[in-house]
Amino acid sequence: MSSFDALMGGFANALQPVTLMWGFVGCFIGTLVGVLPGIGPALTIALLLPLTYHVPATSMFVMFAGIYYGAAYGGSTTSILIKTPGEASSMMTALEGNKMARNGRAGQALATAAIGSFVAGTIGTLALTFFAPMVVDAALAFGPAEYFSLMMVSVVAVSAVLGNSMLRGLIALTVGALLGLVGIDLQTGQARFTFGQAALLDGIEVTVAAVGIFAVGEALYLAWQGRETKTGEVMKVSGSLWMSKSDWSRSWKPWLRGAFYGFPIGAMPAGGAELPTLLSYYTEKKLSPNPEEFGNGAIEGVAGPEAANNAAAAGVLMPLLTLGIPTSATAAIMLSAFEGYGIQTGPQLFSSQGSLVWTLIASLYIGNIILLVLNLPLVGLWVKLLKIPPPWLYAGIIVISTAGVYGAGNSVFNVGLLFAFGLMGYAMRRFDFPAAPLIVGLILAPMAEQSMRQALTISQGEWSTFFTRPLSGSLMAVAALLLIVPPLWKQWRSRTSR
Amino acid sequence: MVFMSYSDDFALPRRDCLKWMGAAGLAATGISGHAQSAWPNKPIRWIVPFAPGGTSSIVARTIATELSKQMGVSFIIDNKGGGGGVPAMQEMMRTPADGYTIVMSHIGLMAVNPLIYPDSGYDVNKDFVPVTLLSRVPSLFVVHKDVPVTDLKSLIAYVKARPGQLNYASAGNASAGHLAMEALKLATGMFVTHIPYRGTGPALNDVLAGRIQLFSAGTPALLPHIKSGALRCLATGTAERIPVLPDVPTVAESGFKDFETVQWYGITARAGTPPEIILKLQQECAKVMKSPEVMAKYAAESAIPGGGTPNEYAAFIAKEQARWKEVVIKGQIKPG
Amino acid sequence: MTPLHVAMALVSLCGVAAWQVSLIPESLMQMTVGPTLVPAVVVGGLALLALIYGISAWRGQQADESLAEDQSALPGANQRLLSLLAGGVAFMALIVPLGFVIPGTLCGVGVARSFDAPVNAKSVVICALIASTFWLLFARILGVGLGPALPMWF
Repeated sequence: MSSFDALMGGFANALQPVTLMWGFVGCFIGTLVGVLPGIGPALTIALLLPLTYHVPATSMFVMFAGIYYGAAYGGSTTSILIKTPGEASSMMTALEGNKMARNGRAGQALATAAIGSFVAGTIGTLALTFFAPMVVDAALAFGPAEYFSLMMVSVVAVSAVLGNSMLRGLIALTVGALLGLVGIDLQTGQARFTFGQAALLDGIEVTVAAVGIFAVGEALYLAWQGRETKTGEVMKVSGSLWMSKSDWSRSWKPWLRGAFYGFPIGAMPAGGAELPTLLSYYTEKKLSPNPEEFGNGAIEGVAGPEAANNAAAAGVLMPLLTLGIPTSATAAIMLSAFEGYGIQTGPQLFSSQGSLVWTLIASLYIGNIILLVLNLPLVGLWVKLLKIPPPWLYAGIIVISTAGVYGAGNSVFNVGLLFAFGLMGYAMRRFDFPAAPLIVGLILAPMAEQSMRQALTISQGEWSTFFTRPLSGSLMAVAALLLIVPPLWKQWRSRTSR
Repeated sequence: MVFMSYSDDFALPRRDCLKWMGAAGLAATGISGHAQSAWPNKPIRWIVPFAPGGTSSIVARTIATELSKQMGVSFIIDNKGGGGGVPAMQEMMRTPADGYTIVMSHIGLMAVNPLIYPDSGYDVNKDFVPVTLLSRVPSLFVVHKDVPVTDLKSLIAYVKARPGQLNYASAGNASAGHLAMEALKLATGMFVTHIPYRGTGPALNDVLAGRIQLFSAGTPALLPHIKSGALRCLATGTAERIPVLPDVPTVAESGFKDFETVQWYGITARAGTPPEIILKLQQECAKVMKSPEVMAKYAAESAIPGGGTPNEYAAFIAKEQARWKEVVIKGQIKPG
Repeated sequence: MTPLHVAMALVSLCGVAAWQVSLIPESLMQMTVGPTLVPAVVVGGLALLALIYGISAWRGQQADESLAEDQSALPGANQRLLSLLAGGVAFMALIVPLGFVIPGTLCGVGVARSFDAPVNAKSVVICALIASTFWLLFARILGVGLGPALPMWF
């Protein structure tokens, strides 16, 4: 039976009224928990998973799909409206989307995020259906040397978010890198930068830093300024909530490009969703005819990263289903979910348990659609939230952020870190240090160091391994080109236009 | 079991749905603020000191699912990988001894860490009490399919002919796989370079791709790949051959008498947890061991189920601690 | 607070970090890159950047958003800042003994105060409502681990 027929069979199983209803429930609760800053999709699924065991078997999959995508989507909403990233991968959305909201374009930002997520989720699930083995083979080709080179490309991509001053951006990046090295060194088991604190042995959690700098930092800065209450409402909402024709035409290519970044990198172990969003943002900024809009509310800067985020979420499923290798905490929870549903992942999955798997995949499509249908009308409702007077709005934001960070790890230390990062965020805002490079540094530094050292051990000390291995070498070349070509290009253009 | 309703019952009345959701919600969160109701009355957090994807997580998840169904409260797995498990234990030290947080203890954590991390801030024997042994899983020694060796003897010859060129992956410093390989190296005199990863998942990825030649891990994570031919199992670390791989000799058979490494996992709680709770948990686990799902899963992976009493687990831990002291010291498994 | 202060803070951060790097023992294991190389490089890089920043701040060339017109802080800025932080501190100190709602309320009141809402009964009630709603929704219904709503003896 061809893949397509099998897929149709899966749809037949999944499309029942009761099933759809449970799908709605799943989307709703997934979004709710996803909205809580600090609680990412992994914890959301872990918490809500037991609920799925109580519903009829066919509905389980759709409910689960709803929770999964809903959790990813919830984070986008808070990023756009209150600049509180649900998790680190919503960071770009928080940057651009919130700026759009402050320009009165919250509706458009939410819409492009929703539709982009849908498009990317669909593409990702399509890829899962037809191309999973190929993508997984490609992902397997990424060893430590290739990861390191990919991170070098990402470091270059950070240049897109360095802000007005390269010096200050680089300082932010380096401080982030330093913070990222806190914790136990994987290769030797040594504690580094921990000051004897057990809580730091695991390192600094990226979500805590992101929520702290973005949400708490912003609140601290605005409170310090004292002007929020004078201007009346937090954000004006001008005009219609829907995307205009030009919004559509500006969004659709970023959606596609973001999706193509998202699912291969999501399929790699330790790939994650943060790298694709960064790369997508960088690409959109470079390709846009108006790059100066970026940082002030460019719709491409929301469309691309959101698509990348969701595609990565779909990409994670590929090695999970075909090899039984979970590539992220979320995937691991899903592995447990699938085992609970009787799906035994691994190389024999599609041949031995075809109908169950196709039902799952069909449910993912359906979950995606339900999410879109559920959330687009809600855009108007969400936007009304912004009319709450500032004291209560920010009280709510801080309390929900604190609750999220506390609930995620039951750790008062993390709450302390949250406010410490908040203070840092205030200082950064005041002195024009961009926040994104710090978070990117926090994420990239430990991964890059680990990959580099693993690669060197494997190659027995040969530094050339990063350049002689074909995939790694090409990525390094890309990084070098991206670094050198744009300034040279600008120079050449200004010379020829004289 | 859930799948029996797979083909029936499409029309679930609305009232029932709400009832289920309410029941699930209440069961999951319990009643707060009143006098102590019977344990457990809210979700139990199960700290697993490894990144997701490895044997430990698979075992934990299987049992957690069954326990959740059996006891009506969710057992939430909290993966806290890295640092040899020390941060996870320290996290555990911060939780109250009320039976709502348990940690998955294993060979590395209990037998080896006290030797490697003497000032971790806790004493595994004094600050924690064993609840029950969950499982003993055979350690398998595998190579990537492209490595031209067929059994342990040919591997040893192959390694000796290429000093320093071969690598083995592990799920992290002092993980069960790391210890097993070091024990093997000690017994056979091989030298292979150790490359640690954060958990079995990432390690497995590089082994499957062929970048790393050798690996040792428990059966659950490796079996699908051995069966599909991507990896070749050279020997098992058990005393006898295991049912799912009847053609694979044990290390003892291959000429190294008395060699035995199994990965074991159990549940441990804080010292000071009320003994009734410990006993109840152990009894629930013993019941879970007998459930068809768990038995099937264990059999598929040749795991030996546990569920014994806390005292039995304590005695077992003591024995293992004595045993691995030698390997750790001779194999120089220490940071720095 | 001026950019120069920021520069000094950065430089002292480098100092502390360098001290911490010196504490990392060299590993006995053979490896091309030990545990100290990358931290040392990062600290070195930061020190360099901080110095450049410091020099440019000394010359008055660095940004301070608060000096831009109609961006400057209105009087009482520090009180507002402290009020918000006090809310955070209250939460951290009280969450374990007092459950979620009371510290959440206090935190909310602190934040509201920092946005010029007066500390009165209305403020307390609204924040209590916010905290309780979050607790009900997330801890009770959805199972997030926020601890009990109110302390045991209530």
